Parts: sequence; C-alpha cells; structure tokens
Amino acid sequence: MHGCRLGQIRVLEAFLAVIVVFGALLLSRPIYTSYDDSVDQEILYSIGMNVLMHLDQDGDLGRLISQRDWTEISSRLSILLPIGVSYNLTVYDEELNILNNSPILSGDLNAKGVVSIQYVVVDRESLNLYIVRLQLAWVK
Amino acid sequence: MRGKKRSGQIIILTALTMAFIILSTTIYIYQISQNLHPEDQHLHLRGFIGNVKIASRILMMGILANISNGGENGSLRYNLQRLRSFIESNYHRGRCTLSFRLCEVSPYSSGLWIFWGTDGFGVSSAKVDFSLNLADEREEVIVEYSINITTHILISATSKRVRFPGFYIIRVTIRVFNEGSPALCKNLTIYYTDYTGNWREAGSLRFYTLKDYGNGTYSARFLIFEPTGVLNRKVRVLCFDRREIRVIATTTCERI
Repeated sequence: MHGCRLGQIRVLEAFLAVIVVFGALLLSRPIYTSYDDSVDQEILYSIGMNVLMHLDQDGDLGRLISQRDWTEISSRLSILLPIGVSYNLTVYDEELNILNNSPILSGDLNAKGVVSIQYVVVDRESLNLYIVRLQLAWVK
Repeated sequence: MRGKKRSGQIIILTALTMAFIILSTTIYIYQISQNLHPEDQHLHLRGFIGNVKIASRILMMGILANISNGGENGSLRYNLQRLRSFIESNYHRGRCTLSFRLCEVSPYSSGLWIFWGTDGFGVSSAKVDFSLNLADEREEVIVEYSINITTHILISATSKRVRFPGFYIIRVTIRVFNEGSPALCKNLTIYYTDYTGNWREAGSLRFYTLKDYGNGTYSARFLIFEPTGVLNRKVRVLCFDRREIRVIATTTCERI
C-alpha cells in the first residue's frame, strides 16, 4: 500500500517536471522570436544605411534628386540592395513636401518587419537639402 | 528512520538547486531582452552620425565650389546654419544640437583660405569644426569632427627658344591635389602672356598638347611665335577639380 502511494507521487513529480520544462520553453519563446526579429531589423537597417551612403558618395544622390531622375535612383537601389529585400523610397524637400511624383519601389512592403531609414541628402551644385525615407522589408 | 531523514534533505537540496537554475535562467533571459533596445539605439546613432558627417562634407564641397567661382564668402556660414536647423528639426529620437566653428587659425579666415599666388601655388580651401550633441532619456552622445576641403595646384613652366628665330616652346607641368593627395581635374585652361603683356589662351594655339598622366600630374606643351623675345613670360593655369572647385596659379617661365 505504502509502495503504491510512493509510485503515484513519483508519477506526479514527473508530470510536474514536464510542466515546468514546457512552461519555461513556452515563456522564453516569444523573447527569442522578438530577438530574431530585432536582429533581422538591425541587418536591414545596416544594409539600407550602407546603400544610402554608397549612393550618396561624392553627392551623387543629391544630384540625381535635383535632376528628378527617379528611374536612375530606382535602378541603382535595385542593383545595390540584395535579392529578397523590397523597398520604397520617398524624397522630401526642405519644407517636407514629397518630391517624387512616381513611386520608387520594388516588391511588396506589407510584411511585418518594415524598417524605415531617414537620411539627409545635400545637392552639391544647388546646395538644396533633402530628406529621403527608405523603407525596407524582407520578402517573405 | 535515518534513511527517511536523508531523503528529505536530498529533496530540499534538489528543490533549491532547481529554484536556483530557474531563477538564473529567468535573469539571463531578462538581461537578453534588456540588451535588445540599446544595440538597436546605437546602430541608429551610428547611422545618423555618419549621415550628418557626409552631409556636412558634401555641403562644404558645394559651398567652396560656389565661393571659388565668385560666390560670396558669407555663404559658408549661411548654408551651414541652414544645414544645422534642417538636421536639428528632422531628428526625432531625442534632442539634437549641431554646432560649428569656422576656422580662424592663420592662413584661414572665416573658415576659408583662397590664395591664388604668382609663385606657382594656388589653393582653395574651407575648414570647419563641428560638434554634434545627441541626447535622449537614456544617454547623451557628443561627437566632434573637423572637415577640411582643400584643392591646391602646383605649377612650373619653362620656355625654350627653338632653332627657328622667334619660336619658343613652352612646357608647363601641373600637379593637382585634393586634401593633400594627388587628384584628377575636370578642366584645365592654360594662359600665357604675349609680348604686349596680354593674357592669351594656350589651348587655341595650333601646336598645343596636354598630357594627362592619370595620377594628378598634367603637362602641357605649346609653340608660340614672337619676333621680339619676352622677358619673364608668365603662365597661368585655371583648374577645376572634379568637385568643381576652382583654383588658379601663376608662375614665371624659366628660360632654358
């Protein structure tokens, strides 16, 4: 009789242990998921910032904006950004009016983790100042 | 009886060990979740600081090009103030203060040094010290940086009388520098003084060649005819570098 009770307690203990382990796994999972998302977003941000700085080398981006050459900007972005990244670029002037009358985009940005990068651009010739907002997302 | 007592102690020890493991795991996970935000913040800060440095550098190039082409010296301060207010008003992650100081250390005055000499040296330069202060509820970052945009040229010229009377070969060597390193130029125009002292463009002569060595060194050679020899003939080079910054240098031909 005593041995039988001891066995039941062992079984209960085993169940409790299983509950504790699975509980811990379930609790920590959202944190790791958000950590993964954050790393993804950091990578996207780094890619976007590097691409904008590369485009802006020697003031090329400012010149293209002043010339309203959206096609050239779009093709350069498509070349510089890795495959699997969709983007949308919006150009604002000093009064924050949108300048690009045609969308500068590629792919779908309806994904969950969209990264937005704001970048100040100067045109060397006209000395005009612009803000570009580059939105990036991984294509799922 | 003794066995039962020991079993109880072991259970207590096991429970304490498990509690310790669970607690340390919880603390570890909490620390990871706390570290996510600052890294993200530092990345944005680094990106923003890099952007401001590039923007101020490009703006200074444009301003120097403008001033060296006849623009007003005051446009350096005016346009940097424009950039300052534009950057400060478009920073949304806290407080941003961008301040600048135009270099006043000789030979600079109001951040500019434009000297187009007659001894074969010409320089167009702008130098400004910046300080960028970014603050939010967590931390404050102060970045100080200096931007110096300089284009200078060194020229030398020789004049050699050829066999035919009245003909002279003029050779001009031009070296172009951006921030002290050899650089290519966009456009070079060479002038020389004739026997009346008037400036004439060498490029319009029939026998004119300009050689580009591809390393910031250029040499020009042209043949001129003047029945009466010219003493202390002057040669002037007008140079636009690839950033459209204009520099002029004048020298006197060495007779060989």
